[in-house]
Amino acid sequence: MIKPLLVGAVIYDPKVSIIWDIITSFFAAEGCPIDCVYYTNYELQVTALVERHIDIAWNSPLAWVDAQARTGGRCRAIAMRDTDRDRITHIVVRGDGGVAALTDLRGRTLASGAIDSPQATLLPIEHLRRSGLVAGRDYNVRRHDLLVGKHGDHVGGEREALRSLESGTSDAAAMLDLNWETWCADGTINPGRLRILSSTPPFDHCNFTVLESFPADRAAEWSDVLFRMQYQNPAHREMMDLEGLKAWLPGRTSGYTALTDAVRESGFFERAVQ
Amino acid sequence: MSEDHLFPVRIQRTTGRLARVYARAQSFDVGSQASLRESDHSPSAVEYAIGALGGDLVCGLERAAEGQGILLHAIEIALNGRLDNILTHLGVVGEEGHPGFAAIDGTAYIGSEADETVIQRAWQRTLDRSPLYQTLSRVAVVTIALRVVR
Repeated sequence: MIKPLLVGAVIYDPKVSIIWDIITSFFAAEGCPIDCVYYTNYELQVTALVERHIDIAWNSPLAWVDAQARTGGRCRAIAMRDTDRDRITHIVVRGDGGVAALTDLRGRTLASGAIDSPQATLLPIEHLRRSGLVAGRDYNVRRHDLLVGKHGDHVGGEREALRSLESGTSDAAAMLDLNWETWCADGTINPGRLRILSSTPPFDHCNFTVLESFPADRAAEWSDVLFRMQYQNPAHREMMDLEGLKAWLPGRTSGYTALTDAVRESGFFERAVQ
Repeated sequence: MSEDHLFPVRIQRTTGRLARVYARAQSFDVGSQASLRESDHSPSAVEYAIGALGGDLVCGLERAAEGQGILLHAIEIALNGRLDNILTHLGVVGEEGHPGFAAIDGTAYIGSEADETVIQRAWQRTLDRSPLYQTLSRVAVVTIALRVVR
């Protein structure tokens, strides 16, 4: 019997386990068995990866940065979703809120997601820093710390930030482009009332991370199986719709520079240690 | 205390990751422990447990009503079960709590023209005599409201 590869995943909702059940069955049918190990937060998962309790980790972008920091850059990203590439975060304001340019945010309040959300907190704050606005000095941040530890996987923090903007408690809100599009389409957002003030440069989101020492042939074999998952195949589509992708792609690491800078500038992990 | 009466049940693994339960001359399939999917071929063990409680109470109330000469047109019970922490059932590392039932709540709808006090009394007798209710209510908060529909 082939020893299954151990794949780590953070579960923010019990239904996420359905995705992994389908992936597990798919890999078994392809003759490349995996076993999923679930974690309640990314910190535990990164520790498990670094300590080799698991072979592969489905990492958030922040968990990737963390894993790289803890291993001295000795990790590889072997696969990611098509939708993980070139994401952007919008800074959204009310049309009648009196914020016409980024500089108008001086003295005002930005609603963000959870403290550890790359897309809804760390990256927009870094974007504003690069634009000359420093959080706490030039503007206030009203965080919405839902399910901290899950790196903003849960959309609740961004939704709370949106409500804060709509209610007038905040003057701007940060949200992932995919959420902006979804909420405009389903009526959650009235595009006549809100508008995009500014957007971050593109960044990448999750990836499957392995340690550099993980055998390259096993990583290649595993990735090849993953890439055989086809959206056109109805048996695969349920999982791909749940996970929000149309295709699995090779991993790349070029899209994490801004987040790495954000983590360094904010002293994120140093603060976490304290 | 009376002499023990045993209720023998045999459970076998079958194909398709099912468990088949044999009880006297009947059998039924258990699809999983606690399914989160929209649909499955068979109910999960958790659903059977909640269903067994409801079935116990429906049968029990019917018997109690007959014994007291109460005419019931219809009995329907809607129940929701909640586990203490389903993530522990999934084996999520770092989660706390347990995968057992924390609460079961719902409503028993009784169609009857009988006096409500009489129905209440029959319902209480049903709860007192229910093996499932008397088991589950000792380990979880079981709250079932009674609503008489005229």
